[in-house]
Amino acid sequence: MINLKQIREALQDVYDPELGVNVVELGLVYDISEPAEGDLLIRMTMTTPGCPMHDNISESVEWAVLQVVGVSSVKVDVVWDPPWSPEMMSEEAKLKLGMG
Amino acid sequence: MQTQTRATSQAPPFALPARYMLSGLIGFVLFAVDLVWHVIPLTEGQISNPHVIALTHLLTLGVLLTFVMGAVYQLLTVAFLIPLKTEKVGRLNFWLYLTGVVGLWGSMNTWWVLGLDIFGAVVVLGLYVYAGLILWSLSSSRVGGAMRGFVLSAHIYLILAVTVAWLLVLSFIVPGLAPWQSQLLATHIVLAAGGFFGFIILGFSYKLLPMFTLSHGYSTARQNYTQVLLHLGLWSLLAAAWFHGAIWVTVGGVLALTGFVVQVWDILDIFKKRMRKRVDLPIRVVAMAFAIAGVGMVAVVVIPWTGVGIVAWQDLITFYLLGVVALILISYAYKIVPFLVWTERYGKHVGKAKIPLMADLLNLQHSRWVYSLFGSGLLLYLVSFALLWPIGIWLGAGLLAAGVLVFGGQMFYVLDLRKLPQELRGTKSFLQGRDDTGSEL
Repeated sequence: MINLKQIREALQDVYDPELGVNVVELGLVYDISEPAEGDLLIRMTMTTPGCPMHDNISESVEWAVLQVVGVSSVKVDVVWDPPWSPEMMSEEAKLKLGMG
Repeated sequence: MQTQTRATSQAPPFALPARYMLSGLIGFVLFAVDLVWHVIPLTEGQISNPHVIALTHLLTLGVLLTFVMGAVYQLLTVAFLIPLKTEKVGRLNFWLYLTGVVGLWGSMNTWWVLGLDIFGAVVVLGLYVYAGLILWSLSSSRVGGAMRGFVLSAHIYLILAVTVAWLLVLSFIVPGLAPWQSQLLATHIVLAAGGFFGFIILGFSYKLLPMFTLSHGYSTARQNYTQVLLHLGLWSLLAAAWFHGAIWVTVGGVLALTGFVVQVWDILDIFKKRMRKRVDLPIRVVAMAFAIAGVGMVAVVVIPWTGVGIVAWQDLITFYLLGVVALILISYAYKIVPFLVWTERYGKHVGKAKIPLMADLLNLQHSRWVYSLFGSGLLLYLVSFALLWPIGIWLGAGLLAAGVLVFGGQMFYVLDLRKLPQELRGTKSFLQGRDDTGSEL
């Protein structure tokens, strides 16, 4: 059984390099599940379709969660529905972007 | 452990856009030096002097167009979610185009007509290949909207502009074309400056401005009006080139001015709906430059009725190329070049190693120096050129050149010329001890 709290902590090391905010605080991670023992499925999005950081961020998400004990495989599913909106950001992220 | 990766990577290899952008930046430094070096014919208002013609084409072909081509190769995948149809053609075309531009610049400086024909043909061929490649790539994109219309139109206008340029060169050796030289020149300028540079900048701005300001929920309903207005304005100016009617110029100016007003309205909406409250200075300057373009269109409306003649048009073209097109490209370069470098050097290591943020590569507040020097220099130059005041032209050109040199220095600092040659050859990963996949981390 994968500790999903540890997964979320691991994802906090993956930053959007343009905004300087991690993917969890940005609200890009929609869902984390373990469909089979040791297999991780992450549904996430980007701030905009065609985001130039698409590949870097999704590959880094894969790498980060593979470091967590118990994860044997990971699939990152980048989805556009629902589209990301700024309301999905955490209060901390909003403050960092000057929206507070 | 295993991963199930998605085939999402459509970005071209680093070397393709980087070679174009680097060449454009080197061209910009050469332009700054050449501007000061050949300022005397400018102080005397000799706009047909070979050195002035060479200087103008160094700016348009060697700087603006070269940089734009690199940026388009980079942005095509981002804006239209498609890969380039063939990277190899883009790579080979770089050398063809570079050879043509260097040869053409040399031929113009010495007014070697055979060289103009040969290297002009090479540049034309290079631009046909580039425009054809982009249009072919765009044909498979399902992204619609005004952005697609602008970018498609820009490349069609580019094909027309270089065709007309070639006819203009031929007019020096084909007697039948000689009577049409002034019409061909005006058509070439309108198609290249307005049709290509204007449309390409506007089109990509619909993607870049929301992306850099993190804007959501802004209206896109007016974008098609901007497109229609600017097309009609451009065609009206083309009609003016052939029918010599001041009214055509004024109608074209009014239509283009209205188009830019709608565009500024859209930009204000994008800024209003932005989530990133602290907008970088270069992005604020882009917005300002579109407003400046509107001021230029007011001049287009007024000039035909003032009787001030060719000097005013020459001043206006300089104003548009440097005060709008170059200013916007400088501003976007502050975001695009660090992004390109960051992706190549650090992109594969996000979350795996302590790496800098994109903002750490260059303090964008330092762009203030460039804008101050470039802006004040251009203003002084334009006013002095209109008044034919030599000292002002000297000083303006000097300040402008200083701004370009500072900008070039900042870009070369980001590119880090010690690492760049190996990266352009694709032979070295920046982070020592790790391969290109970063798998040893």
